[in-house]
Amino acid sequence: MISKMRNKYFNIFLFALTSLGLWGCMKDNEWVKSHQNSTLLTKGVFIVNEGNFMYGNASLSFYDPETRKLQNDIFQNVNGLPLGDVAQSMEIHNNLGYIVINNSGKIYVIDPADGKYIGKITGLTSPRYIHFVNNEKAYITDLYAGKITIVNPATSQITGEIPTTGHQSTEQMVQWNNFLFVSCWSFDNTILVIDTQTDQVAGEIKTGKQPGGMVIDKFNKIWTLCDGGWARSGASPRVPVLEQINPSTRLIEKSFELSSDAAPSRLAINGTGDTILFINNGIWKLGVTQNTMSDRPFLVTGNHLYYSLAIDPLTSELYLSDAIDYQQKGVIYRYSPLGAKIDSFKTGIIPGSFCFR
Amino acid sequence: MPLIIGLLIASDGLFAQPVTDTLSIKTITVYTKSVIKENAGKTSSRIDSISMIKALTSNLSDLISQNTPVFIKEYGRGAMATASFRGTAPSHTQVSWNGINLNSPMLGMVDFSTIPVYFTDNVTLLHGSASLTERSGALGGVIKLDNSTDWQNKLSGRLLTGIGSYGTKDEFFKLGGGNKKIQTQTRAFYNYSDNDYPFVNKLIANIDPQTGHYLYPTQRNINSHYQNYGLLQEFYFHPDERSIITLRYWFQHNDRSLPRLLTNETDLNANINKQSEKDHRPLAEWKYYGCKGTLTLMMGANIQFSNYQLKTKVSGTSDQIVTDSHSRSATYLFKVGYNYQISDNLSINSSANSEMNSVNSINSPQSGVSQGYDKQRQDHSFSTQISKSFNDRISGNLALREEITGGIFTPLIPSAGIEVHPYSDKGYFFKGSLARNYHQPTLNDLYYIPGGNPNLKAEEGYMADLGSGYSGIIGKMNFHATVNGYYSGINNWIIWLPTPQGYWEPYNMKRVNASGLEFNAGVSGKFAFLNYHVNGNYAFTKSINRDDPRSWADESVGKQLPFIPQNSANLVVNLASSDYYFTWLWTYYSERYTTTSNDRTSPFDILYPYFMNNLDIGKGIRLNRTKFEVELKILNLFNESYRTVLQNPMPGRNYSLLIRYDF
Repeated sequence: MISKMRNKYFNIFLFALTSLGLWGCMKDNEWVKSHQNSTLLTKGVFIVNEGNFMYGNASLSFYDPETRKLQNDIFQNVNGLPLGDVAQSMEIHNNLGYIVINNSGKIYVIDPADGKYIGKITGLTSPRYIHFVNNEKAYITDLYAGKITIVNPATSQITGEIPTTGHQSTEQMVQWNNFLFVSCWSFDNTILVIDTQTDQVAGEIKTGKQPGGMVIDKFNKIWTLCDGGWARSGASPRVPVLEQINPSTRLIEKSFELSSDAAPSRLAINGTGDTILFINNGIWKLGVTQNTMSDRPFLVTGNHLYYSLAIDPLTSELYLSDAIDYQQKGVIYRYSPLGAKIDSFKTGIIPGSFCFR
Repeated sequence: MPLIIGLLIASDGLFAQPVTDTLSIKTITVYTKSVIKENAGKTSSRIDSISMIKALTSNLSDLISQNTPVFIKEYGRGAMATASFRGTAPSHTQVSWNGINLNSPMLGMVDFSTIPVYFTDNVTLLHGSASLTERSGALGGVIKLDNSTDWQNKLSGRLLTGIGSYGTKDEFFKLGGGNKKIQTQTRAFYNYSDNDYPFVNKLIANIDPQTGHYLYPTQRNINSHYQNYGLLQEFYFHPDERSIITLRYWFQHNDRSLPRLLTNETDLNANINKQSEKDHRPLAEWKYYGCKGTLTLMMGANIQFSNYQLKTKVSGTSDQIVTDSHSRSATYLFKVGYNYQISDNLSINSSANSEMNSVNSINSPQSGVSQGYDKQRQDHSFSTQISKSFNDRISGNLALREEITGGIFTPLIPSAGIEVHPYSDKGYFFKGSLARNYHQPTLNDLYYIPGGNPNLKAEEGYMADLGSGYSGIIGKMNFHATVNGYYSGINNWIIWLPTPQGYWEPYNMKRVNASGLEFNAGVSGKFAFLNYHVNGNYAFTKSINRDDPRSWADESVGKQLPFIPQNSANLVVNLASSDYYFTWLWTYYSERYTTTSNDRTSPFDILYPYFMNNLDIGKGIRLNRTKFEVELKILNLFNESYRTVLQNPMPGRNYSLLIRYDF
């Protein structure tokens, strides 16, 4: 009797255990399924969406200004892989797209025609930007490494490094003749000059606090935007400045003090190299020959918090991003060179940089 | 009134009974004769003693997620775990240990992974308005951790040693003894884990040069070892018939590394981080039992030192420190409470609390640069509550609380509750409560550099609760079931948002509405040769952003807050027969959004539903006054690969073998 009962219980127990199996099955693989095989990307702009720090939800979008067709999550959809954590910037060189993933320590190499992942440069520390010297040499700046990494784009291998002694953070790069100018942004006030033939630091220029963006105008003058650092309580307020540098004399030729209500960011130059724009609450505009800054912005902020800005080098159309609360898909506004709104669309979390194809 | 000293007031102790003979739980629960239900109408729930015993070697995050409706957001094995109680933020769940708040005045929250269940004897949840009997600020609720002693104990001890997968070692020790006048109890623990479990990383791939196929690397969860140890010393004195003096001291040290994200492909020497904490928690209490009143005096402190370091090892040079933050946060508490029984059906409870909160925080985001703040805030509160039993079926209470925070008076905090037992079978009850509550900004919210906002307003909550339940014996089975519905509106909810200055700043959102249902049911008894004990929870949670949209494009308004599941459930089944026992723990969370707009277009917009199955199998052997027990824990029974946040892998099936010796 008892053994029969035990048997019955044992069966119930077994049944219960096996039915538990149905309660399980977490969908960890859904994530890696690719949803489409390929997509055709023609002329247009890649939008690199940073994603949230430590979430790993960066993404890549592509927008065709002619057809106004938008494709989001290209990298994930085409490759079945996430882009990574904090996608910082993108460059196209030699018909390959390089996406710098800051907090994943790597650069993804894609085919810009369809978004397919074809390689990667790994083993970096906290990469920010990549600059191509030629087909065999590129430089990668880094927020924390205290060095510039040299890679061979043809093999995706790291081939060397340039220590930037005394400067932990290296940021943006512009090249003039054989010299590369590198801004040292985080807690620094220096632009380093690198000789691209010897891969050595060949000099430095002292600037305002925290030089970030750099562009080169049609007169071969370098412009840099210094955000002034953090405004600390008790300490003197920040002094953001926009500076013009002569790359041959390495001297600052013009300096514009900017409103300290915000941290200016995202220096950009139009296709003809004669007008620069940047964000400082609103969008500010300056002709490269102007000697005074206008007293009102080119575009006002309204209820937006502009996060990023870029100019189409062919049409000089303006692309502005608003990351809203940084935890939902941000909006891109497309403006004509004169500031008329043309289109708006949503891409991904924190749209941070643009790459025109 | 006979003295009721050293007894646990445990109205739900009933459900702790059935399996005790096989699980050998020392039954120390004795009931008070008080007829006044001082928390009438308010929802509290106690984790039953079987679950406490089962979780003896766990941390509080496992105990809470497996036995209560509170959602625990776990960042990884051995990593940080935060709570969301009734759809609220981590700082809205306050953890109180024998009356002192463990929430850091700097961050406002508690890391549940650092609290060992071994150091507590009772865990009680005070849901919503019920939390006001303990303190203000718990817009979700209070998790109350208490210790108690057994005055009958002459000498007893326990040794528990365990080994587990991934180089995990656990040691627990307890020794207590004394007489009817004095008792001492010492507990200590040590945990270590390499925590280097293997997993297949499907978030990165190498391309096979021959076939062009993806090769997913098999990796180990490196740089995520942890080591924690602690000591809890308690002394209980009972110098005369009327007083009890309790002294407690809890020391703990936690050390851990935080694993990298799955998409990380940095240099192996880069971005290595380390986090360590040291806590000191002394506490002294004097309770005096008069003829009609009880006086409580308490003094204590919660002092936490923490350090976070992120560095990169550069070959040939010294390590490059990327971030180095040090902080010291402290809460000093002084409390006086008086409970007076005016008559058999009327009592009054009053207390005055004085807290000094201080934080000294220094961050060095880059070598040679350091910034931080050093601030104090004094918080005082006064509360009084009248509780009355109108007859043997209806009881209620009214309470008022006034707070002075940093020299500023907050508006009065009222709360009221009523409970009705309408039938002659007293097992049925209906209850309801209403309350207002305030949660003050943390010192980081006010002063963090950069971004701290000294103009922040306190978060203001209005909450209503309705509940019903039954407990009793059906046939030979103990049965209980309760259902609670709640609704709360929280104005000035604090969130950190980006600013044009480039850093983040906290700001008061207009409003969040959190509402939901909590359902709990359990059965226990003996069937044939089996003692069974089954307990389950289900919670439905809506936590909705009612802020003003930031622009036309803002789609967060009217949406569920990120990382809060709408449905969550758990079930614990204990079966015991002679000396063997078996426990199955099942936990479920529905999908969680990662965006404020509740998007579902990208794969990273949603975390898929979570199902977890754990199994414990054990056998006890009793020899005279001593007892041995061997237990095998199987975690992640179905060997699922899963993540609880977007980018941290969790371990597959893993084991832990425990040997326990009690005398």
